Amino acid sequence: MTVAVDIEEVFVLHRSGVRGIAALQGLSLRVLEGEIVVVAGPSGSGKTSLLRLLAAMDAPSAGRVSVHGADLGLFTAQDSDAYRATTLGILDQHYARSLSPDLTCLQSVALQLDLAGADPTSNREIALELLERVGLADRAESLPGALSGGEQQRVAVCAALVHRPRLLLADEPAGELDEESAENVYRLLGELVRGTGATAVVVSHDPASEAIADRLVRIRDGRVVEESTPGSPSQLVVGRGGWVRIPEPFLRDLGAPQRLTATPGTDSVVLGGRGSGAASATSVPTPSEPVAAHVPQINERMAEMRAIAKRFGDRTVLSDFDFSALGGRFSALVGRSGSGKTTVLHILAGLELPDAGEVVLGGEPLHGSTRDELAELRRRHVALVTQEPGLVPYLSAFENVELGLRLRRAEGDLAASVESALREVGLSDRLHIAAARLSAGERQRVAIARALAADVRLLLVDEPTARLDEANGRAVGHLLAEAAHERGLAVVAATHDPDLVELADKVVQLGG
Amino acid sequence: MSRARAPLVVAAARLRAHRGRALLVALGVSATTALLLGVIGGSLIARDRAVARQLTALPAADRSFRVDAFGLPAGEKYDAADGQATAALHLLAPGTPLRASFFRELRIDHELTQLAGLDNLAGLVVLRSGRLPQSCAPARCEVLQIGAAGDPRLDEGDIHLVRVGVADLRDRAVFGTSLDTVRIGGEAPVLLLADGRHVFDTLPAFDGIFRTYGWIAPVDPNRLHVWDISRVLERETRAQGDLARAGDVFRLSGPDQALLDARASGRASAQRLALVGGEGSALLLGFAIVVAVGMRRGLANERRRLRQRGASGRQTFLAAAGEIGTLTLIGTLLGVCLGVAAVALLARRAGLPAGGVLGHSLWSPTAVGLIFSAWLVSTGVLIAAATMREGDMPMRRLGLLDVAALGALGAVVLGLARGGLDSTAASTGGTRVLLLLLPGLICFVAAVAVARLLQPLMRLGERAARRTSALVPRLALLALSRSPARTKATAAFLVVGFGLALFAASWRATLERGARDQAAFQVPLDVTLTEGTQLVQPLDVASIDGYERLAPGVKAFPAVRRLADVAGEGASVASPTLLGLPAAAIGSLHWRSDFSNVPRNELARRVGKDGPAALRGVSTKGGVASVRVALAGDPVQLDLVTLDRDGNVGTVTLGEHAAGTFLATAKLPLATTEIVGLEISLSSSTLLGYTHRNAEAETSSVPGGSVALGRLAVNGKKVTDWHGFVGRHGLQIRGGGALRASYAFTEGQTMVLRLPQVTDGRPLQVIASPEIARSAGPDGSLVLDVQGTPVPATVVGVADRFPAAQEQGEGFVVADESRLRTVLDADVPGSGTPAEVWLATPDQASLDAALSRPRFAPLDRASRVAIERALVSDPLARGITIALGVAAVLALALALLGFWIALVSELRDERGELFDLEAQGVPPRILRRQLRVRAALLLAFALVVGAVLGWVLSRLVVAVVRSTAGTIPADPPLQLDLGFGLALTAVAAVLAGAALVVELTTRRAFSGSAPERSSWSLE
Repeated sequence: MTVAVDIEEVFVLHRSGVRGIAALQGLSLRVLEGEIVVVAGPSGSGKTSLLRLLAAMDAPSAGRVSVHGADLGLFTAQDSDAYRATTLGILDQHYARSLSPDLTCLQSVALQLDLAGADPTSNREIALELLERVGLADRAESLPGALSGGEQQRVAVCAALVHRPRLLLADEPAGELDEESAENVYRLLGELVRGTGATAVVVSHDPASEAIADRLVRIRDGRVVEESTPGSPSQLVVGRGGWVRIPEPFLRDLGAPQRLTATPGTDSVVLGGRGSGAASATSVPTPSEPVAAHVPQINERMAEMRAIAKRFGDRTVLSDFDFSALGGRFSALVGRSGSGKTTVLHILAGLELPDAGEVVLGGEPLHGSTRDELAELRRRHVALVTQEPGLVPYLSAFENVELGLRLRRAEGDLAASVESALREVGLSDRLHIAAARLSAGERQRVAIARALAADVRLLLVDEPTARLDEANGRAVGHLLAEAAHERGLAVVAATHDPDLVELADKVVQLGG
Repeated sequence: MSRARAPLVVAAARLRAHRGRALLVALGVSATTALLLGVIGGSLIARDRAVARQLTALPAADRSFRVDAFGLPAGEKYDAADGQATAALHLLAPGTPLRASFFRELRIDHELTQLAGLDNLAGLVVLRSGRLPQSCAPARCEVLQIGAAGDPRLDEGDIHLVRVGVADLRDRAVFGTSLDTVRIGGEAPVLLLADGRHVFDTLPAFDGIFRTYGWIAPVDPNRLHVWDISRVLERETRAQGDLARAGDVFRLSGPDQALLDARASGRASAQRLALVGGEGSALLLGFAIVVAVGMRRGLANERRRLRQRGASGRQTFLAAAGEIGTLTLIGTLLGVCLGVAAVALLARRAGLPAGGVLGHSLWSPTAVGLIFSAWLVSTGVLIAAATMREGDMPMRRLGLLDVAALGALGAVVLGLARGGLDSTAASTGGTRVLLLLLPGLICFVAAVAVARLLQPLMRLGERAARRTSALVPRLALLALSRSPARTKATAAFLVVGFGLALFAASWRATLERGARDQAAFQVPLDVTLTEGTQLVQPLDVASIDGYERLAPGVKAFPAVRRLADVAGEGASVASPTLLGLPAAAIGSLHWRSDFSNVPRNELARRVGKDGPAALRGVSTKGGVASVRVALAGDPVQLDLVTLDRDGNVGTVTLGEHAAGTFLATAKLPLATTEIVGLEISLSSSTLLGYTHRNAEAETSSVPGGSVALGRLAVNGKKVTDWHGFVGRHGLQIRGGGALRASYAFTEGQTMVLRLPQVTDGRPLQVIASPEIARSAGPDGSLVLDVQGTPVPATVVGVADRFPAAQEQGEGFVVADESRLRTVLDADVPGSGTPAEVWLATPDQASLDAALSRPRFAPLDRASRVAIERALVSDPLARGITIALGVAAVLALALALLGFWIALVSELRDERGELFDLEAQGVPPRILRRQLRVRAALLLAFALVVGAVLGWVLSRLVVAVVRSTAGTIPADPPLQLDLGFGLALTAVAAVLAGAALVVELTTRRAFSGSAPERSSWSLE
């Protein structure tokens, strides 16, 4: 079979802060024509970088990427435009970002054909036909805002495939859909891709995606580390030069050694542990003394959700959901994108109001509270670390944390608290560097330090390891676990990261 | 082409979906476009009215095109000449010209007559008695007499004129000097008019008598429009050529100079208004940038979507350009409609044909080009601002905008340094592009400077706020400094908007003040009375006391005005105006601090330091004065110099006398209170011979002699025996019982015998203009030569300007009136008599009413209020001040609109930051307060910097444009008036509007039950 995508030893470096980030570190992947490859991996592992590379939106820093024989690294801007116009179909996770809110569904679907200068009447017919196939012909003249999430994503699928691309790139195509809609979208995607003979690279954490996959590829730290076909066990990928990534559980079982012995067998290589001590990346923080003076009782109920229901439009995210955030416990909320993890965090923090059910925070029911009262409760009880913490770019790490404390009207020796919190997250050497000059991972740690310094009982973190490399992700995970176990905080994290999940005392699966 | 369709569809869809924003943008653009058009159209209307006013102000005779024929071309009949003249005039003024024939003075039947034949006589006269002429034949030609009646018949030879009526001419001036009757030998000719311009041609008796023919086409000031001037002048040239070819007897005349002047001042005015237009353009650009920055996120998302779908760079650009271009196009078209309607309305109100005004203003190639350029530039800037990324203006490097701003600054500085923006350019209508671009360039520089300085300033502010426990200001400052592009754009626009509003308001106030100053410079108190055409002097009509009794509170001050000679630069002689004013009047003048470094009251004190003076004489009263005189030598004329109870100096002649002893007598008027002295001058016969011999350069002996005066008595009662009297101008007093004096008329002068005066030997304390003060000695002393009389003076103060004292342009000297008068009268009695009276009143209307009485009619009256009113009501001045007022209001309105758009954009774009703050426990009420403080900080910053910008602009423009609102050079120069009252009102209005906008927006922003989720983009 012909090779559609051929990626050889690709590196992508992004300038971020003073250090820079290697988003892809020698990634190699070959996709055959007509193949559907599903790519998985924790946040920050390089999935989006891979898609941007294949979409000719970023150029490789090193290595070679070719699609249907064309070397993308040699593309001019015009070549890239033409390539995206003819060869590529792109499907985004966020349908609201994929579809222009101002174009009708029919216009959105026909847009790529129109941009290519094809006959508008014929374009409309093709687009309408496609919408008919996905059961949305009657919504052709509607604006996306009038459609449900599932419907919008189906429209987005049509828009991505209307020009019969040879390569489809999809990024969590059902990430914001309920389970049923997600299955529908994947089924539809599979049908259409196969029907057009296209090749597809689909980034997804959703098990439903396996149904359409020919091959499953797992990425860690910017490399392809594992590969499998649906229903078969995964295999470690041996990279060029013999690089193999040993799965984390294996290493943990060996006591996280820093050195291993490798012994050849007849058809195997036996790895053995030698030496002692856990592996410790240089940037992994070493916890110091707890910042908080208040150490709550273990298992104290910091926040509770009872029989919570929450819908967004026609999509039910939570139904009859119960959850307790207990002091001294680290809870992980897991589930595919759109399963309601962030919503649970927001409801716990009183930033989202449930449609039904009861929420109690710090012993006080939230029902009937005004926004001002809820904010006051948060100030006293909750620290929320969002995926993109609102740090002030030109303030230093120290100043950002100090500002957070001022917002909470903290008193006492703020400077000491700030320094201690930043030391806890391993940023003692970067206190006075502006947030804008820190890497994404460092910014995330500043946000966590800000939360830890806040002296609250409930710490809510949303994808804390997203965009962190493995070592930093692990360090942050340990930090959160320690915050729960040693300081008695109730820590709740929404995550896709299996390493983080491993560290959790309690795992709550959302979205079925 | 087919690839262009999709981006345009996207643009159309976005426009449909965001109608509110589109409407807002379109309204902003349309308002500014309408302003531009209003300026163009309004300028034309103002210029047209100015032309009409200038034409109306012309004497009727000059307000017409006229062909005069001095006889008829050889061999031609009247009809041929009439055809040529009529055709020539037809090119210049519509309608049938007034035809006439004029004779010079003729003596008919012993009566001096002046004959004329006029077409349509009935329409030109008002019959007082009799009837209109009906026929004219050799045996009987009926005529109408203008003025008084005379004998019915005038018969001489074959001339038989019959006066059938007496009438007055309705408008004599229209004929110019043709019907003026000139006295010959004391006899005034009788004006006789026949009905018909050529009736006398039918009478053989008049053959051979020279006559002129006239064709007069009056110009209707309301029908000759400014846009016709060039065409009319061209046609006039053509008509003149046609007439010259027809014969050398024709002469064409018209109000050419007035038309040229009107056109020139109109051009200057148009340039001035173009400054307002430039202001409008700057506003348009500023508004466009604010809107563009507000649209940036939406456009960026759309561009990303399109790029994902393979759109080329051109297609994504087309999508943005299509959307923005449509918005600006709609705005521009709407603005054109509004502008057209406004101009049509203005034209209608001014009584002008709307079609003509629109055709020559808005439909002109210049205007169309201007509007098209404005649309193009605004669209371009909007696209650039909307698609520019945040990093396109790096903080520590020079960007494109910085370079452009530096270039603009350089152009302004260079232009100013090279004098490219001098007053001549503005007042004479020179085409100085830089002047027109000045507001725009400076605003651009200010906007970039604000964009550059804002972020560091806010960060500094935030650092300062950290030291306090005040959280809200710190959050506000943080927010301002963390969203630089939007904040910069908003701040820059607000600064420009406020700056331009202040500039417009202050320039308007400056021009209004300029009108006041100009009026007060001409009439320093409230009314100035001077000698009129009948040569009656104000003090002949009433005394100072009499004037002060005209109305309650009136203060009257006599003013002496003379020309003096003083040593000028090098060997030259300067002729400053010598003004004598009571010191008290100087203290009451309308004064400006820039006239002199010395305050007005101090100047008054210094001038009046020696106190008032009065001519000193010997007391007497009316009656017969007699003096015994013994004269030896050439005959002389003797006159007594008297003073009446009103202080007027007069002379009463004692007659001309030859050598001998005689009793000279004269009758003194009853009002006489003092006898000041005796004048001795050459008798008229001696003077005539002396003058003649001097003219013929003959050497001759100097007339002279000696005189012995006995005591002077009035009604037989001794008044003086001349003891203590001194002689002036060559009169030598010799001692003895009676006064003996010898005289020698070396220069034909008049000698004076008088008492010593308080001013003798004491120099006048004077204020002088700098150039006169420079010619004074180290102690400030100088000698003024007042028509041969040396007047010593000491400069006690220097003033750059002095009201009503600079008509000669060779400087001025101001002294105390009483002392100057005394000095002058002491040397040349009567020469110090004030020829002006200056009046100050608290009630102008009462004074005006009093001065309207017939007894004051012979005087020329200049009223400060009337002059100011005339200056302010000048159409050009009104046009400029109205345009400036509208520009100021529009600038503020646009600034508010821009502020609102920016606020809404901030709330939309900062959802993430606001969510994060609320997540950290900051309650919405604090967030609202933060937004309010932020808005207040931004407004305060913009108001302060805008005020500075407005001040700089106003200073520059006022310094550069030195002409008044009516486009004439300003005297005194314009002085910046910031119009504080108006500015404070405007600031209050802006603050109230901004507070309302902020309150409405922030309340709505946090009204939901939960904060909006952040919408972070990882791209």
